[in-house]
Amino acid sequence: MENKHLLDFQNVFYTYDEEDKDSFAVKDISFTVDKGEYVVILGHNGSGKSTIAKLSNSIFVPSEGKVFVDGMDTADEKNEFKIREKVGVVFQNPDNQIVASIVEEDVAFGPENLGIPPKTIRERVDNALKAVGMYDYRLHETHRLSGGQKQRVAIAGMIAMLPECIVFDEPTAMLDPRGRREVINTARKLNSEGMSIVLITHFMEEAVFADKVIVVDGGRILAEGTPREIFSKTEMLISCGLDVPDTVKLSLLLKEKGVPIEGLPLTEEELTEEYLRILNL
Amino acid sequence: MVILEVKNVSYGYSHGTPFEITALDDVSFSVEKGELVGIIGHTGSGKSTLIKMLNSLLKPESGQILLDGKDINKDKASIKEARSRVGLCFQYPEYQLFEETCAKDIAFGPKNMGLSKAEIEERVIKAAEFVGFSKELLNKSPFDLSGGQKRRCAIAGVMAMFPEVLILDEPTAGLDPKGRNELTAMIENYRKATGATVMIVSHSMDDMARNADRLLVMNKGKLAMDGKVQDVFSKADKLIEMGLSVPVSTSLVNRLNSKLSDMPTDVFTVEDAAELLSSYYKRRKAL
Amino acid sequence: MIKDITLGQFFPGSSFIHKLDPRAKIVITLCFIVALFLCKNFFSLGLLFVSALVAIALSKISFKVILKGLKMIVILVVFTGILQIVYNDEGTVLWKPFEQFGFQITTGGVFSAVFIIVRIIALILFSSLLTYTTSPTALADAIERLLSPLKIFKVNVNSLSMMMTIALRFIPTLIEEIDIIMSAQKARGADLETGTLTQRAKALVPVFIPLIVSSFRRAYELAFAMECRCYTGDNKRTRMKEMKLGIRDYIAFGVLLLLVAVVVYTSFFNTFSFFIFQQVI
Repeated sequence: MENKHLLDFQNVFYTYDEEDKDSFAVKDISFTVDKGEYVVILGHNGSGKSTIAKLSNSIFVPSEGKVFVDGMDTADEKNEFKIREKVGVVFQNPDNQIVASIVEEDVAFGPENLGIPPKTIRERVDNALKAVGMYDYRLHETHRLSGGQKQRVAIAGMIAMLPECIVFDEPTAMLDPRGRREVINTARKLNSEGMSIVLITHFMEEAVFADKVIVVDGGRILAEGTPREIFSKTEMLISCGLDVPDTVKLSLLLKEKGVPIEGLPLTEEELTEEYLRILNL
Repeated sequence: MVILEVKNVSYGYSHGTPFEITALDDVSFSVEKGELVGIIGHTGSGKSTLIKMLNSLLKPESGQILLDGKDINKDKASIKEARSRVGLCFQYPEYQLFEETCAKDIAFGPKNMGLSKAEIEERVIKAAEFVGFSKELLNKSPFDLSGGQKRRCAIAGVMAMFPEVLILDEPTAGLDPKGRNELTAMIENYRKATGATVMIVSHSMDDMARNADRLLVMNKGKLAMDGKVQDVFSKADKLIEMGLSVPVSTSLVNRLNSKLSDMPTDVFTVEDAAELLSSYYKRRKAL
Repeated sequence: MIKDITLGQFFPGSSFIHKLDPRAKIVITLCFIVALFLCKNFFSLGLLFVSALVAIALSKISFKVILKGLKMIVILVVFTGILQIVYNDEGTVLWKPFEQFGFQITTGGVFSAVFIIVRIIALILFSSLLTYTTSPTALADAIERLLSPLKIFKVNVNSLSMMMTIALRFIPTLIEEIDIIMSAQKARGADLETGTLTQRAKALVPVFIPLIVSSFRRAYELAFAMECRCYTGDNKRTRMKEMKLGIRDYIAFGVLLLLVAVVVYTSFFNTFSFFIFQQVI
């Protein structure tokens, strides 16, 4: 096991129906996530992308193939807890992953399950809440928070377990734009501090900052590459129910109209800069 | 012709507790027949309270809501009338499905309106057409459908009442790009076929720029802006101040304009922005 | 609005009452209730009532909130009051409004009505103070500790308290959900308010089915989220907040003991009736 990847999917198949082996939700998926990497998995609803989240920390075990977390096989039951400490998962519905009525008590839930002494839990909870900017809300009732705040509490609940990787399973699908920004900015901040991030989403804009983008369709990996490589394949994305960010759409339209834009600007800032550059300004 | 009129409506929640909120504060506007109105505002701006008022699920603490000039809260009969003429589809409507088959679930609204059996059946088929549902799907249990299909079934359930005003709260929330486009087309189908007024609550400024005729902007319980799409988006600063955003194209052109200053800024869709930027580029290069 | 219910709600704070050990609070509340039922005269009842008011003042929860909670039981209070007046014939007759029916209002009736009303109000005040000042999780944990002797009889006290925590956590969420579903079905013309009892029961089917379906979905998702946070249901969990009886708790116990002693003495060993007013029962 040299050159250990933090997360390593090797030819993974998964079916929800053990009787019907042909109905695979995930088919022959292989990819890796390294320490500190920011990976985005894009796919339309029902493409199998959410199954990947549950396969990554031994909630589901592959029907065929292997998933390794830091070299540990997720199919081996005695690794279960070590794996779940290393890889945290934040789910889509903010309401259905908060266990306690008070913010700090919810964040403490994970460490409490690990059997850590009270004093250490307190430290971890405070640090985790500070990391997501929710420390001032530690005594608030969870059900009165906004969607974005609830998701940040859920993230803090993961951070308190000191993971090396957090997998986000469509964390922004149920949020308004403000909540979406809060969650994505939190994920980016954690990544800049060294946390590996796997973000599963169908919002194209969220893939722009990734180190690596994986496109999933029909349970298979359709493409893998940098955001620039992926978004230049507009037709492929549209054919699998996805799209490109508006900025990319605009860049491509401009190129079509003969404006000599170089490369593929992904963000507003990049496109502004490029446009001003070709105007010689 | 005005179909719906909101006159000086105010409303508050949880009076006398620490969690007291003024949800609506003296809101007035009117909606023309056949218009497509977008309602924007961030969570807690009062837009959910507002749409609940429009078919009498909540009654204004002060002010009036007029449908065809008549107060919808006048008596029981007028409330019932408002419920069938103003269709309200909530966020994540798929969580309200309950019948054994999709056909039965879609028929729930028309049945409550007291229509005849033949009429109900006809409406179910029509509504299924609007959302592109096959006969086969109609006979399935709604709980066996995919997420996107459930959403369409639930929306058909509101459309089957043939409301003259159809109000949808975030109809595309949680859908992927393809699902979003399909759903927008279905709402357009309904509008074209019935000539109904449609009001859509949405967070997506780009969708609004593409589809709406007019925008209502809610902020802190007040109607902060009411105007044509271009008028509203041309006040980008004001929107951003309220915690809202403008379409990507608008913000990009505004960004360029701060450097170039001679660029027209009334651009709201990607296509328009491409047109503008390419012709501007060519003009500059020709000089 | 169902959302307006304040009964059973928690108001975070750092008052003397908030800081009491939740176990102490539960035991004190129970003893207080017993004392309320033991007391048989206005002197001791008044004493208990005043101590309830003092406890509220110590908790720094606004009286407005408390009054709002009391509003919920106005009907109950009025009803029991009337029953007492109607059925108690002791003492001197004050008024005979419907003599032909043998109906009369007596001093005994009025006294016992006032007595019972004050008793109910004191009961509600004191017991709601428990939930107002104790977070649901702390409450569940305290009950778990108090019930821990039951472990001898193979009762799984840990799961019991986890169930309580989750139930309390999801009550507001489900109330909100009922509100939304009811609104949605009303918007489709459902009539939930009029009709005979069977008609109304039938009309609730479109509310309950979606509610049950969604509760199962929530339970399913919550189970995954809890697994991700290493919850197993065994007894190895630790707690962030340790429960330790402190000086505060001993003071509170001391005051309580004094109260109970006075109540018991004046109610059962009533030898010097110096300021023992009307003996009611």
